[in-house]
Amino acid sequence: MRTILAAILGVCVVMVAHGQGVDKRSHVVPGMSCTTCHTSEVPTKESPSVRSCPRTLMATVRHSAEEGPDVIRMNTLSDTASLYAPVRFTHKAHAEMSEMAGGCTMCHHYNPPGRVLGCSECHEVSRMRTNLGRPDLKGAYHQQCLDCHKRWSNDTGCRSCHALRGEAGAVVVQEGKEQARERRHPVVTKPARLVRETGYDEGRLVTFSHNEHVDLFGLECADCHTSESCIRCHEKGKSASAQPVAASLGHQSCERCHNVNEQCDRCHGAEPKPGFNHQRRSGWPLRQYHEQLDCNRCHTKKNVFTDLSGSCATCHKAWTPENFRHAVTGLVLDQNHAELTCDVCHTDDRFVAKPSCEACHEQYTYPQKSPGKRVKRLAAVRGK
Amino acid sequence: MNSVHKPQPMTKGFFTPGVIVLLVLAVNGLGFLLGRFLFGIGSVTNLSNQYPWGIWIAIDVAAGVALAAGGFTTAALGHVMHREEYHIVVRPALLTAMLGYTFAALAVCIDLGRWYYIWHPLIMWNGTSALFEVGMCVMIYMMVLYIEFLPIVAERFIGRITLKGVFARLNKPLEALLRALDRGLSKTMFIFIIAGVVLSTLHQSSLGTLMIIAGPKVHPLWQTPILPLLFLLSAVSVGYPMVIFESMIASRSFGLKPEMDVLSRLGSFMAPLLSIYLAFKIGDMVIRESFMYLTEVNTASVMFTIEIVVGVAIPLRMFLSEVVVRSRLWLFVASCLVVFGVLLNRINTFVVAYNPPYAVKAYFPSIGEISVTVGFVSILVLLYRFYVRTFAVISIAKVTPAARAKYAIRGGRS
Amino acid sequence: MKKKTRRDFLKTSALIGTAVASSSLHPAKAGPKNILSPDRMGVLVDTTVCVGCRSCEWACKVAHGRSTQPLAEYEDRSVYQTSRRPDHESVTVVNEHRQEESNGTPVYTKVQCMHCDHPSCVSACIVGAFTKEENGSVVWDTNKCIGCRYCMVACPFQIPAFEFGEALRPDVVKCDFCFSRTQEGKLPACVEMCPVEALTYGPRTELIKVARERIRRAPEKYVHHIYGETEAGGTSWMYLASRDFAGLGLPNVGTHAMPGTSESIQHGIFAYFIPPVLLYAMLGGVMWVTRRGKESEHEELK
Repeated sequence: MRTILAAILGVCVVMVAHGQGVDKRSHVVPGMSCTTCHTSEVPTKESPSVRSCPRTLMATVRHSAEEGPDVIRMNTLSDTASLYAPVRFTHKAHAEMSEMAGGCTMCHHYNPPGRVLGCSECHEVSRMRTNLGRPDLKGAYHQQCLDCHKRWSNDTGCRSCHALRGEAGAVVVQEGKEQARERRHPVVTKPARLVRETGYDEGRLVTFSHNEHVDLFGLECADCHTSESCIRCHEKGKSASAQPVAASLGHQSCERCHNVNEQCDRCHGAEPKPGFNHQRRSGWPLRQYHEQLDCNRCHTKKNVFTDLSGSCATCHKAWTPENFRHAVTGLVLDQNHAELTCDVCHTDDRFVAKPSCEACHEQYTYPQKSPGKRVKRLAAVRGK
Repeated sequence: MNSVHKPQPMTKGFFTPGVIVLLVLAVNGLGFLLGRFLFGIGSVTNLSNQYPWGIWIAIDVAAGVALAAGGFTTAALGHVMHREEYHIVVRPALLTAMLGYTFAALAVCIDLGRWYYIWHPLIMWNGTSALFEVGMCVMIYMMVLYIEFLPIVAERFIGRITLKGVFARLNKPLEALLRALDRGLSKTMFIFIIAGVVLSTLHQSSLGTLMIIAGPKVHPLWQTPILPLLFLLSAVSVGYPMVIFESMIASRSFGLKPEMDVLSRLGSFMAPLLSIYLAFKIGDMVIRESFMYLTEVNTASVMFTIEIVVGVAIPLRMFLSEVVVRSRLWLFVASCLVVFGVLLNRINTFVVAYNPPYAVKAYFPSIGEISVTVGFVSILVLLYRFYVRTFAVISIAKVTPAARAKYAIRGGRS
Repeated sequence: MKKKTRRDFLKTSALIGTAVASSSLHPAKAGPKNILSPDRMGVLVDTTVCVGCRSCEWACKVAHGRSTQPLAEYEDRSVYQTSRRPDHESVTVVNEHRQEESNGTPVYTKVQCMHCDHPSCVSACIVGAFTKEENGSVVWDTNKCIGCRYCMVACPFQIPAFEFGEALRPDVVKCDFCFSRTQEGKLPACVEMCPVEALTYGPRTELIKVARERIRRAPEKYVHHIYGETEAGGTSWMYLASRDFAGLGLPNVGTHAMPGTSESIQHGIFAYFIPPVLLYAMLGGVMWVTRRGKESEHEELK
C-alpha cells in the first residue's frame, strides 16, 4: 500500500524527471480518474501527457475531529543532543480548530483517496536530498505549525511548542500526556442576533439572526465560516478576544442561500428586523405539529428554501380526502361532521383560514362551537 | 639653442618659520601614524565596513598621483617633443613626481591592513584587477622616476665622494660606479623617459577604472564608463598648473625671480587641455543624462558644481585671457584653481560620491586621518626643500651664457 | 659626449620592444580561480517561511569556531530593534522588517555573502585572494590578502568586513558558504540548522525551478521575482519574498555583472599589451623625429 501511495505522490516528479511511464498496475488508484493526472485518456510511456500536479484535487481527507488521534508525540527527529524535546502535538484540539477553516486538508494537504497520511510518509528525514520541491520533515513540521502560529500570536519562539531538555537530554518540563489529551478548544459562544450599521442611508441597518440560522435553519458553522484562521479570534495575545468575529463581510456569505440582488429588504432596513416568522414570510402559519419540525423536513433541498405550494399533499403525499383521519390535527370529528367533505368547513384549499360553520349553522363560529372532541394529538394518532 | 639657465643647488638656509610649522605638522602626523601601527587602522581613522576607503586613498594616493602628473607631462614636452625651452621645469617636475609617487606608495602602505605584504602583487597577479594594474604601474614608474633622477645624484657626487676612515677605500669604486651608471644611463635614458610617459598614461587612467566596479555605490554624477579617460585628461590638465604652482612657490621661498617666460608658455597650453577635459566631462553628463541630479540640492550636486565651475570652468576662462597668462599673480591663481579642481575631483570620486547601500552614518575623516595626510604633505615639502638644497634641480638665470649642464638627464643634446 | 648615434637609438629601441613583446606573451594569466560551473550549488532563502529564530547565526559561529553565547539566548528578540550588517564577528545576520502602518507579520531576511556568479571581489582583488570555486563558493585566502579593502569597495552587496581593530594581521571576513564542510559532503551550517527549512541547499538550476514552482503554487503569497536569479549577473544565494525586495534590505543592483565594465576596460587597455606597446612605439617615433629636427638644426648652426 505504501509503495502505491509513494508512487502517486512522486508521480509528477518521477514522470517529469525521467520522462518515462509508471507501471500502470502500480499507480492506478480506486476512486481516481486517469484524467486527474493526465490530459490524455490514453497516456503512454512515450507521451504520458501529465498535468501539472493537481494537489488540490487529490486532497480528499474529510473527517471529524473525533476520528483522529488525540495527541501525537512527534519524535521521529528526536535527538537527545538537541536543546529541545520532541513536541506533544494536540491533534484533536487542532483538528477542532481547523473545522471552521480548511479542515483536515489544512495540514494533510496532499492526500490521495484512501488512508490519511502522516507528515513523515512524504517528507524525508534527511535534509541532504534530491527532491528539493518538498521540504524535509523538520522543515515541514515547522512550516506547517509556524505558518499559523506566527500569524496568530507573532510568537515563534521555540518554547511555545518545545519543552527544554535539561542535563543528559532529560525533558525538564512537559505537559503530561493526559493533560494534553484533555486540551480542547473551548466551546465557541454563538451570538443571537447581530445588527450591523452599513453606513448607507438606504437600508441602513442589516439584521442577521445568527441563532435562527444555526438553530432553526440548521446551518453548520463551517457552512459560513470557511476560513477562520486562529488570528480571527486570537488577536496577538493568545487569549481569545472579546471581539465578535464575523464570518466575512459583505454579501458573499449570504448569497449562497439568498438572492442578494433583489431581496434587499430581507436583511436591510431602517430598523432592526424582527426574527423569522413563517406566516409573515410565506403567508402560511406554522401551528402545532409543523412548528416543531426542522425546516428541511418540508424544505428538503439543503440550504435552499424554495417556496412550497401550501397544499397538504406537497408533503403528505399519502393523504386523500377519503383516507384522511382528522384526528391527526387534534380534533376527532363527531359522527355528523365526519361525513362531510373537507371544503364544507375549510373554505380555502391551503387549510390556513379559520374553518367556517356558515354552510350549516348560521350562528356558530369556530372554535366556540367545536365539530368534535379535542384530543391530545399524539394520543389520538397512536390510539388508532 | 643655448640655455642661459643652469640648474644648481639652492643655498638659502633650511630653517624658516614655515619650515618649523611643517616640522610640527610632520611630527604630529607621525604620532598618529604610530597609533595606526600599534592599534590598527580603526583606532585612528573613521573607516568602517561601510566606508572602507577614506582620504588616505582619495587624497594621498589618488590626488597625490594626479598632482604628480607634472613629471610625465613635462617629460613628454621637454624630452619626447624636444622642446628644449621647457627643460628648466623638467627637473623640478621630476623631483615633485618622484616625491609624490614615493609618498603615494607610502600612503598605500599605511592604508593596507597587512602593509608588510605590499610585495604580494609582484608575484600574485590578477589581470582583471584595476588596482593590480595601478599597483604594478606605480611601482615600475617609481623605479623609472628614480632612474631618471639618478644622473642628478651622480652629477652631485661625481668627484666629490670623500668618505672618511674605513670607508675611505670605497671612494674609488663608488666613483667608478657612479660614472659607469651615468654613462650607461645617458645612452638609455630615452627608454625610461618614454616608459615613464606610457606607464603614467596607463595608471593615471586606471585610477579612474578603480571606482567603476563599485557600480551604483558611486553617485551617477561621477560614475561613468569613461572615468579612466576623465582621470587621464584631468591628470594631463593638472600637470602644468602644478609645475607653475610649485615653481612660483619655490621661487618665492628661495627669493628668485619666477621664470615667467616659460611659465606663461606652459599656461598657454592650459586652455586647450582644460577645454578638452571640460568637453568630455559635460558631454558624458549630457549623454548619460546625469545632469538631472543637479536639479536637487545635496552634498553631491553642490560638490560637483564646485568641482566643475571653480575647478575647471573659471580657470579655463582665465587661461584664455592673455592678461592672466602674462600676470604672475593671476597665473598663480588660475593654476591653484586647476590644482584645487583636480584635488576635489579625486576626493569627490573616492569619498563624496561613494554611497554604500547600507551606510549607517556618512564618512568624515577623523583628526587622525587628517593629521597623517597633513603630516605626509609637510614631510613631502620638507624633503623637496632638502633635495633642492642638495641637488641641482632649480635653474637660476645666469647673466653670462654658461657651459651646458654636463650631465643632463635628457636623451642627449648634440 | 651624450651623443647617442641614431643607430644606438634604434638598437636599444628594438631591444626594449622585443623584451616587452615577449613578456606580453605571458599576460597576467596567473589570475585567481574563477570557475562558473553549471553544477554550482546555491541556497534558496524563502523569507515567507523564515521566522527569525536566528539559529543560523548560532550554527554559523559554531561551525567557524567562533565564540558565541548559548543557543537559548538567541531567542532574545531585542536585537531586531536595530538593523544589523555582517561584520568581522558575524558573517551572517538576520534582520527584521516590519510592515509600515500594518500589524502584519514581520519579514525576516538573512544577510550573508551572495556568492555571485561573477563576483566583484574576485575580479577586483589586487592579489587574487578571492576565488570562485567550482561548487559556487566565493572563498578568501588569508595567505594572499594584503588588506587593501578594494573588495569592500567593489562588492555591490557590501558584504566583506574588515578587522579594523586588528593591528598586526587584520582579516577580511565574509561567509565562505561553509566551503570546508561542503567539501566533506556536509550541508552549510546554517542550512543544516534552519528549523523551518527557509534555506534550501541544492544545485542552483534546480533551486530556480523550485522557486518558480513555489510562486506558481501560491501566486498571491509571493512577489513574482527570484532575487538573485539575475541580480548582479546572478548569485548563488537567491531570495523569495512576499513584498518588494528593496524594502527587505536587498538593494536593486541591476542585472549586469558588476565586473563587466571594468574588466572590458582593463582588457581593452591591455589587449595582449598591444595598446601600451603601440603607444610606446609612437612616442619613440615622435622622439626620433623631433630629435632629427633638432640635430639638423644644430648641424646647420655648425
